[in-house]
Amino acid sequence: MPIDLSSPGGATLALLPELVLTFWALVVLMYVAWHHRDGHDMRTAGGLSIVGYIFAAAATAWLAWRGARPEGLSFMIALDGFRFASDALLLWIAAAVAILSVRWLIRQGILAPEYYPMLMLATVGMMLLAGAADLITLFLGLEVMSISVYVLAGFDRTRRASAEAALKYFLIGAFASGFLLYGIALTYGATGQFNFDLIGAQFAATPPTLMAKLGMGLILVGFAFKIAAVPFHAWAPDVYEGAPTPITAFMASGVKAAAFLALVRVLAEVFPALVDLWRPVIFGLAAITILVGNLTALSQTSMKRMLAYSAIAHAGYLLLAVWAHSDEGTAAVLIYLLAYSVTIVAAFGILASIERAGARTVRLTDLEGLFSVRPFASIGLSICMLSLLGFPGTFGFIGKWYLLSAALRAGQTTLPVIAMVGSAISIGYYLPVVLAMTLKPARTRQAHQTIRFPRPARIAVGICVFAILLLGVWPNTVLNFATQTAVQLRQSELPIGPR
Amino acid sequence: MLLGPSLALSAVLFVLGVAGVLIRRNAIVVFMCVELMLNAVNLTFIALAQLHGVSGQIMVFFVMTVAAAEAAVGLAIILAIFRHTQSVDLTHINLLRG
Amino acid sequence: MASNVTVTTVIFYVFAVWAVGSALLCITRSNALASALWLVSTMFALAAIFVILQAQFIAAIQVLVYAGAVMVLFLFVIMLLNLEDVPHDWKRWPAWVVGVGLAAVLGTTLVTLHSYTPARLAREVSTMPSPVDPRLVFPEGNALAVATATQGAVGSVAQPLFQGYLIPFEVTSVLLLAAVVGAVVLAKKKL
Repeated sequence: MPIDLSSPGGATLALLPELVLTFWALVVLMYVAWHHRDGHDMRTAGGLSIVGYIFAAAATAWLAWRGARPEGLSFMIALDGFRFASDALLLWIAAAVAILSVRWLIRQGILAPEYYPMLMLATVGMMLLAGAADLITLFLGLEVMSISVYVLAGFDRTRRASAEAALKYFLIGAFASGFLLYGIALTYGATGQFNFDLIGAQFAATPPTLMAKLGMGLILVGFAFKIAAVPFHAWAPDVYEGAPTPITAFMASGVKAAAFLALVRVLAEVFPALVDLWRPVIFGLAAITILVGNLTALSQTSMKRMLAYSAIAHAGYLLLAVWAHSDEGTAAVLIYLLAYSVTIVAAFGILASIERAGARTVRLTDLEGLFSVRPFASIGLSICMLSLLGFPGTFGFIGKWYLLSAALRAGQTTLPVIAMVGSAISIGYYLPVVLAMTLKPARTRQAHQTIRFPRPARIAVGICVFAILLLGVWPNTVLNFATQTAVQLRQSELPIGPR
Repeated sequence: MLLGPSLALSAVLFVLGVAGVLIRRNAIVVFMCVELMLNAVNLTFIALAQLHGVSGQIMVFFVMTVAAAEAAVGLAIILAIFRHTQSVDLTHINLLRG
Repeated sequence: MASNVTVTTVIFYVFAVWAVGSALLCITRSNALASALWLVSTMFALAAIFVILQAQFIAAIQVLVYAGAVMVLFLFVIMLLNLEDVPHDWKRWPAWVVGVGLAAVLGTTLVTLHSYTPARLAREVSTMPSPVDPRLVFPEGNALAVATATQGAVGSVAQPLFQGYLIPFEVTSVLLLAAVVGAVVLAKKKL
């Protein structure tokens, strides 16, 4: 179904998932404007928002099913399999986070149902960021996402840590946006265009100029902040630790996924001609991110902080596939992001249930003896840890395997070795979690009596853990799907000449 | 035209903003330095719009909208943290340490 | 014509020095209120430069929205919080050295953009090997000047904004909605 994106009707059709979600966010907002008193209102708002994600996913599926593609230039927003796959990934993450939040917020006494519309608006921003075909849309999508997530990070207003997390995230985020924006300005200066395809065509025809190089460098710095790559990662641990736990899951999976999807698209469509310039940068970022992330994670005692550093390390692994700059690399990014998000949602879902109301850090020692009291939760968390580690038989292994093979096939051998070393180091902090839960006795007899695992979260976590195991041994459907969509990313090149 | 001087001025202002973010400890001043960075980038857009056409000027509109939205949320966050600590000092919220 | 260009150039440099000086004061004053006012001063100087660079409407918006509304919000919050004047803590000099050093490295890289002239940019965006006439390479830039003359400074910006850039324009409405809801949620004492 060819869609003329420059006409208002065509643009409406192409933006259907985002429009549906925005509309539903307004509906939920209207509901919470009059119903924001108690837990019942919170539950209803949460349920309503999940319906919105389902509608948006249906709109995405409809576009994908009709084979929507741009008629002529891909104007402002992309219409290809990669965007539909990105949207599906981001929508599932948001819906899962909403499910995890429903009871958690009530238990922690955060009775502000505006949480759900903010989460939906953040998702709209993520979808625009990942689906942008124009630097203006990219920037605005990024800002819609960032502003909503700043608020969500500080949503637990009675806690100082949450407010500090919001402040730190906000200042670093705005700082990073400045770099990204300067990069956009110089890229615009070097080509006179904002459209990805037109810029790509221009760069393909002319040798790299000073302005283009500086622009690309600044854009990479902006993205490095957003994906928390070392040395631009310093904000991540504090923010992840201070934010409400479901939002930490959202930032570690959703925000990171959206930034990576946008980075892949930008590098594939805007800067393919400058590949020899950005590959060394990605190489350096990947190597240092993997090593620093894994080594720092070793010395953490707080689970959230440990997972934050592990998230940094995982961003390093993902940069391997970005380095590959191939269809396999793009497919590997999609697969890995799915594997990682499934695992992270399950892990944070279990951690959120272990958190007591009030004291909101789970330390490694708090998990001791969990197996004897809560066998299913501890088995689930163990499976998550193994998946993050990349243990064979889990989905995490499949994801890591594809990352490594994409990098190897692109002719890179050093980075895969570094990634293997990083994974070996990561045994040192994933395995103690499993051992603490199973081998060590509980500290006190009352330990783990306060765990509340509400049914919605239990179902969501159960599905995630099941998916980790199922896709770990039977990943073919997902693999084929990712490979097909990845190929479409590169087909959008148009035969446009330079001036 | 004054293209080169404008780009250089923009670079200088941007770098001053970056320096301000890195050295200041007052959250509001740090945020103002970010605004200075955005303003500097606007100058680059305007200077380039002389040659590339109106799209650069339109981007400045969007940047201003973003800056206004960021100001609303950012100042709300600063108010929220002021309620907890009675200060906006970043010394204990080390921005550059993990 | 030649003297005309010189006058414009002189005015440009006057405002450039004003902007840089105000920005320097903005990042060094220990009083937040003084910093804010110096930032307003920088924005005024930039607005004047925008006029020189043929962006009259943006210049007006810069003064009204940026220097006016946004900075008033800053001043409002600074006064609401009644912040005390905190003198610089010179024991933190390593942080200053690192900050200034990083900024200097970035600055020396970015200031190389000074070498750009319209002719150089024209040569770089076109594939033609020999020096080319910038006016041929940048038809849209000339069209902007013509549109400003015929449609006025507002019309030349408004026309494309509501046609080609409609999608980003609509996205900004989502952005502002998120900002409004977020600001209320965070700042309101009791929800």
